[in-house]
Amino acid sequence: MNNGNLLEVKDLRTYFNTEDGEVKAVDGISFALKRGETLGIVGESGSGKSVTNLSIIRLIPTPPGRIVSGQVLFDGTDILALKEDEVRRIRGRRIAMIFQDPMTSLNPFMKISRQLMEITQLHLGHTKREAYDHAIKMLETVGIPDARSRVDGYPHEFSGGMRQRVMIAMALSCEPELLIADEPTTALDVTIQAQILELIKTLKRATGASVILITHDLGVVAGMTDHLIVMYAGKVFEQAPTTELFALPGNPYTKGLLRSVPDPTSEQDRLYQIRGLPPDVAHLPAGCPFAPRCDRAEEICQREFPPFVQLTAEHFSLCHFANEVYEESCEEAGSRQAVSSTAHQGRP
Amino acid sequence: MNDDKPTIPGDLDKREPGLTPDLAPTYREGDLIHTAPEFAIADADVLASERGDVIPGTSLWRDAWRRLLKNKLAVFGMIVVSIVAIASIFGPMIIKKTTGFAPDSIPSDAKLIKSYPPFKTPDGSFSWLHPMGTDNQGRDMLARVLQGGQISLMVGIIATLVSLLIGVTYGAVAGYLGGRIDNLMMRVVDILYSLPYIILVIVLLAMFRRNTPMGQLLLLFVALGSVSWLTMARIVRGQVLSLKNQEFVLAARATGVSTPRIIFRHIVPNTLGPVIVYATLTIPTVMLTEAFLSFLGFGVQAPLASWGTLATNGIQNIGIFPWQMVFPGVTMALTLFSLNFLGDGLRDALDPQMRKL
Amino acid sequence: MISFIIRRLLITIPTILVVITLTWGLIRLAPGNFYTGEKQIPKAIENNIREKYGLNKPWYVQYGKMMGQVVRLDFGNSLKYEGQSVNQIIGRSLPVSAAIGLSAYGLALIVGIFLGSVAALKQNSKGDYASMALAMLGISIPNFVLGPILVLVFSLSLYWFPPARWYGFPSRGAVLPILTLSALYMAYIARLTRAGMLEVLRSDYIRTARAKGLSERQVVIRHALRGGLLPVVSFTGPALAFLLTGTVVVERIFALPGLGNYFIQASLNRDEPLIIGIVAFIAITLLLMNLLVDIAYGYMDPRIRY
Repeated sequence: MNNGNLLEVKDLRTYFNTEDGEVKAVDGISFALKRGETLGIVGESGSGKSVTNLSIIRLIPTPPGRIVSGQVLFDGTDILALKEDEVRRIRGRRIAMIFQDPMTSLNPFMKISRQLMEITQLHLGHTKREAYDHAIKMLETVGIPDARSRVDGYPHEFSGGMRQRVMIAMALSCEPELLIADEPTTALDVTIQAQILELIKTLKRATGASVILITHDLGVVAGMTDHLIVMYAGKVFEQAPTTELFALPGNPYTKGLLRSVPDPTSEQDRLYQIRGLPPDVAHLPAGCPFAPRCDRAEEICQREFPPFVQLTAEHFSLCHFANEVYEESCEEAGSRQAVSSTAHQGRP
Repeated sequence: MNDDKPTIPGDLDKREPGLTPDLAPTYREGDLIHTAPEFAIADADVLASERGDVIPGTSLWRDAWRRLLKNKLAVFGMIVVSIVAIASIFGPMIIKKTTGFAPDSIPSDAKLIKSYPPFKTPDGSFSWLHPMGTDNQGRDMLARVLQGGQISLMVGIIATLVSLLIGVTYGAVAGYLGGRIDNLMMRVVDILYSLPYIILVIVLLAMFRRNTPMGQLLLLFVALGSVSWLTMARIVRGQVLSLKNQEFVLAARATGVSTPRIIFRHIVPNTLGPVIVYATLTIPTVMLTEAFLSFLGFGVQAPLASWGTLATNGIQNIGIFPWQMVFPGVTMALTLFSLNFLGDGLRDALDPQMRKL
Repeated sequence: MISFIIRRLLITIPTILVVITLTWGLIRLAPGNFYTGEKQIPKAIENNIREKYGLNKPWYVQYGKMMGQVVRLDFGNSLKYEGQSVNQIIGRSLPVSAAIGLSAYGLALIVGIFLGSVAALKQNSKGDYASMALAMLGISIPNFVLGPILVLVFSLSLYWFPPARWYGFPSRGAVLPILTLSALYMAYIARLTRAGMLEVLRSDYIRTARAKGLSERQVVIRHALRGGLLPVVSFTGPALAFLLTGTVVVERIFALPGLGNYFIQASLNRDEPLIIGIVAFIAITLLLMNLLVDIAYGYMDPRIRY
């Protein structure tokens, strides 16, 4: 039926009308996701990564937002062309979402049990009894201790990490084919973050679902994803298999992001920071949107929008100097390899 | 603060919409002395200026003004209120000059001492002389309605000023001093809040009725002003609480500025936004209460007449001379309607939280 | 919970005493008295009257006697309506006011919540603007202007309803008073519902509900309404106080024998026992209702702890 892709997003554009004029929150995004794979989408706040994913299941608040153009092929059908009630049959059933803030994403006025039950009653036709038992089972699956007694609690009686587990239980209730996790750990303590990520990983392996993991934290995606997309100002800046992107970044922005990840083994005493602030998407410069913050920007970057350069079979970068940056990365990696191999050799 | 009230742990207390901490303006560095109201810039503008593309002269006020002008209902309200105010101030004078009708002049010709409909003469033919007709004593309704506007607007504004004076002082002092005093002062406000104050006002006005119109008017100002300051005090206190630890206050304190001076020169001017909004919304409320009291016979006394008194006088004849009630009633409703829209618009314009995307 | 109620009552009782003391103080501090009308009365008669009502005793004795009556909830006889006790008068007029007031509030809840929700769901649509303009009109028209206009249209022109007087409840005669009284609350509740719903509809948990695949109807009814109506619940306390002033007006316009009308008459007559009785009654009702509202709020919002 198709090329093994569960999800294909083609030239997606989502714009918002604001007081400052039209904001192109997502401006021509394309990517594909195979069954069982995990895709990471990385970017600073305002880069359009959340809007992309809300667009996939058509949850953009309209107005002010609207999906201007594009296709979202989910298992071969274009979600953007479906009727509202057809999309609803996909939401929660085949595509589920986990949101950033577990404190506000659960209904504070409703018992956990009811919030979990309504999704399987809706999509799987469970009776109350079945849904209730299923809810307890799901809470046990996500590791909530004493699930049977806690299922009738209210969200405020749970800690942040526990609430995110409830969110995950809710999302996975109907065994969706695609799980979109929008910054699932941002609002949590560091120790809890690792637990939640591990949980998502385990459950993904158990159910075979594909996952889109949205984050601004490169550390989060490193061990979790097969492919990565780096977004900036509503555009894909770089796209590559995760290992390749980490090893051989082909875009100055990605390089900056990578350098700003703290590395406990390095001896540098100051953390690198990309200078300047995230762009004001309502007033983008004419040329490359990253140019004002880019160390290697030249005159052409201010003037012309950069091309989307293919570096290898699966590696793309949006930059006038993509090839040069990529080669530098290769050289650095080569020398690093050399250094580490000499170091290795040095040991008797 | 309210341990007798239910609280939502760690969440916004949605029951006090006045206390939005986000309303607290943010400050430019070095912007330590605040005498002019050109003080605050919104977050977005801080970012804009750091990015280098400074939007020239964008202050909170200019921004708010721009947003206000975009709000059609608020602009409508502003225009109507201005027209009514100007007409009320100058109208009676102009009518007197052009036609000779004063609001309280009863015609000397006995045949004219009766109520005739809008645009009619006593014999029923068309005339421009009395666009709103006349009352039972043949007095021109238009002149009376416009003069009633003077009284109603004056009561609304002065009573609001009284409530401003009490509320701002009380709230600022409580918020700035904090601690036990704040606790006590706010507990008093809580208790006063739960009093059926309108009952007390009625008793007060019934017991202390003045025989002079001016005395009664003064009594009204005091009565109305002294019951409508509570919300103002709460709003100002909330603002002050969020302002008092900001750098410019610390700087003032460090340089030895006296406490009253800090409160009234440095902090109070910065609470202006919400205070203006709330004051604008208090004026129609006060006017409505005044009308209510006039209806009960406790309002302004003859020969002075507010819209409330005029409408009340008209009620008796509603079946025969409906214009006696309809014109003052509708003029008043229209004015209150416009003031409310203006207040709503100001709130939307000055409260970035409520801004629509 | 119990301790919350006890704590609240500990505040409520002194508040009621403060209200009554203030009222009494205002009556006593005001110049003049209830028995002097327009004309002078002979000194001897005046002394008799003062003797009879205990006005010659020191003020604290009189105050103590009054407070004793309040605590026993027995306010003695009216000065003006001779031979009638204050409790009789309240017992007779209260049902009238309560019937009108509660029906008006019920009507306002139904219409207001409906209008407000529709406006919120169709934000910035024509329907939204229309219902909000209507609501603003409701807030801006004084009820003593609205009442006569309704009478003019529905009684004097269309002859649908009687223009005045009390015909019992329910009856056609109660329709116009209820409509007049409920307009303001309808408007307030519609605005509160709209604002509350708009805030809730923007919240994360509504997005979660939508992401579950619930229909918009289910999202609104199951998830949004409860949080959206919380402001309406907390408005109920102040609303009851407003309701009071409203009934005063409506009872006067439609000549209904309710509590409000008696209160105004009593104030004008300086009928001290009746004033104190009605004020005490109103204060107690209001504060108890506020307590009930807070408890109801706690039931609606599980995050509240007492």
